[in-house]
Amino acid sequence: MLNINHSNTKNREGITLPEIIVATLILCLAMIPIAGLMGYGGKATLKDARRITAIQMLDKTMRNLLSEPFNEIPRGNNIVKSFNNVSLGDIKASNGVTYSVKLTSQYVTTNFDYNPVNVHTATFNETSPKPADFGSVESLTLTDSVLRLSLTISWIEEKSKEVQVSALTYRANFSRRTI
Amino acid sequence: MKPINSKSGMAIVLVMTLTMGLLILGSSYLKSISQRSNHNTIELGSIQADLLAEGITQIAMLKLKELPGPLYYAALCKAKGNGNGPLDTYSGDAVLNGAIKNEFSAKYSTTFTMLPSKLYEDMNAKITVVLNLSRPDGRDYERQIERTVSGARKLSGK
Repeated sequence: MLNINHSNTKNREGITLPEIIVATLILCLAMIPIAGLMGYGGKATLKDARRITAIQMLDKTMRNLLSEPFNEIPRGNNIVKSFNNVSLGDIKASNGVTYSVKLTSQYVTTNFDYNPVNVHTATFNETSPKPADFGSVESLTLTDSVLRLSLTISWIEEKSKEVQVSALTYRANFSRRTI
Repeated sequence: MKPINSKSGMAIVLVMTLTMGLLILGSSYLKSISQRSNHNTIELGSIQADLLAEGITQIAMLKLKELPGPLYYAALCKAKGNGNGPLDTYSGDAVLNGAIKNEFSAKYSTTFTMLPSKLYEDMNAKITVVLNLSRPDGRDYERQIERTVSGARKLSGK
């Protein structure tokens, strides 16, 4: 004979519905921050891409600057006028972002210290010079033979926040007539 | 007495487990994003170190071009065991051994050495620039550039 416990079946059916409602609510609540996280990930990827483009532009422009003839590099602060193979000013990249490229180029005074050698003394041995053959320290000062090149690339993030990357190098004038 | 069903409340347990799994996945995703951002900073620091070290090398090469004689005799004096003083003076310029505080901070040093080619008959000089750069995020980069310059010694009038 079949024996069915009716009260037990009723209890199970009654509990399942609130369980599902509560579970769905918890799942929905958990999905809200996760969905936000997905959006943040997408934004962060785009932000990274803009930064990478700026860094690549910085590297390329600096390499071009180092290969330009010394005398054709302009001097001044925040130069935005392009010259030869060097692109300056507002540049629109392939990702649609406009980057502002500024160059600051200034002469650096360089002092080169050395001990001059007196080769005209009777005791001077060309193959084995002694400390006594050297004079006291002298300095060669060059005021227009080394340029300090500072390049800054800036762009706008989040509608108004300006972000920038910069690099610094030196360029020497090898075509200078040696004394 | 009300009978206890062993399966009651299982849905909540399952959903809580699923939610926990999703949160773990989300946190690992966030971690991967933050690591990717740091990687970009690494690229910038590396480029900044390369460019600055190249610039210092250019200044060192200019010094060698302007003052080859003092280096030759100073290096020879050291090679023959007669003293390091003149070579230390030649390598010790403030412009070639210094520090820079910019968007980053960097320290650099330069050394000049002579290569003993044909017992120093030829003038083969090696310039070594070592640069240590620190980014504001605490990452450090080291660059070493070595450049060899070959030349023939020739007395004027000969």
